Amino acid sequence: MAPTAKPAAAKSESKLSLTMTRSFDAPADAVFRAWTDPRQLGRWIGPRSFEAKVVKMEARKGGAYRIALRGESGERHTVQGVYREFAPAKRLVFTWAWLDEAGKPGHESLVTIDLKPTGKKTEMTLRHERFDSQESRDRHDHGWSGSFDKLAEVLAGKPGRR
Amino acid sequence: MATDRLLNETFAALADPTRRAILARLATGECTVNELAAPFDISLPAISRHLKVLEQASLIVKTRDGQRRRCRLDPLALDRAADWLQFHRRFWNESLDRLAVHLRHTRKSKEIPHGPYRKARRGKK
Repeated sequence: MAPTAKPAAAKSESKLSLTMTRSFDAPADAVFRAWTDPRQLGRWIGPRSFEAKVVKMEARKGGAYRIALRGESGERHTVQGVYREFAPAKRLVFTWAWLDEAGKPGHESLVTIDLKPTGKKTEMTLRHERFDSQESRDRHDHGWSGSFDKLAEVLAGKPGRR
Repeated sequence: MATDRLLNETFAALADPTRRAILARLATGECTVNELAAPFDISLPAISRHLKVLEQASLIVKTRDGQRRRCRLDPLALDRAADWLQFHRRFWNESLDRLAVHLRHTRKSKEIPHGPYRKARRGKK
């Protein structure tokens, strides 16, 4: 792993992110509704074997949402956030914070959903970014320009594997 | 997430290319501070500052062996950072699998988007 990050590029990327793209056999407005209709969202969000309940959803820019998830063995997790952008059939941006045991929101990350019609289908890109805290951003000039792959490289060579 | 503060420190520490290179070097085995500094075109105090950041983020452990200071990788913090990514990767991957199924289902039964869960549809719509 060579130190290849360019300072210019690094500046805009002081965060760790996860991006995935999927194509759905549905029009963009239907995909958008699946995200913003509480009954629909509750039917699919969460890993397999998890049950989700959308307990709050103010489907508009600046509105808040809260989702309660329950796993097979009864474990409960709650995530909440605020819609930062709300452009039907196009783009949805919201903050994302898991609540801790005391019910307090933890570190806030950001999820961006972009929808692009491709014929009768819709290509959706999901980006989940975790920013450094403001404090650590102030302390460090360089951004985290790497990705999971770079981290994986380090992990692949960790002492445990020797 | 109780480990949140530590996670922030981990990501901040990983944000620097020199520090990532140091970690990569340490991934091949324990070494002294001098050995660590050798491949980098920066001063020993600068290396020491980087090591301090890595140590505070619990990414490395420093030990003293007589006059020589040695460093080794502590995989715990990296594991936690990787856990965050892995958890959300799985979370979204599996959610989107379910979304695809949901959208197919919604298309087939256009007027009954919430079919099996909505018993009392009579009178509505």
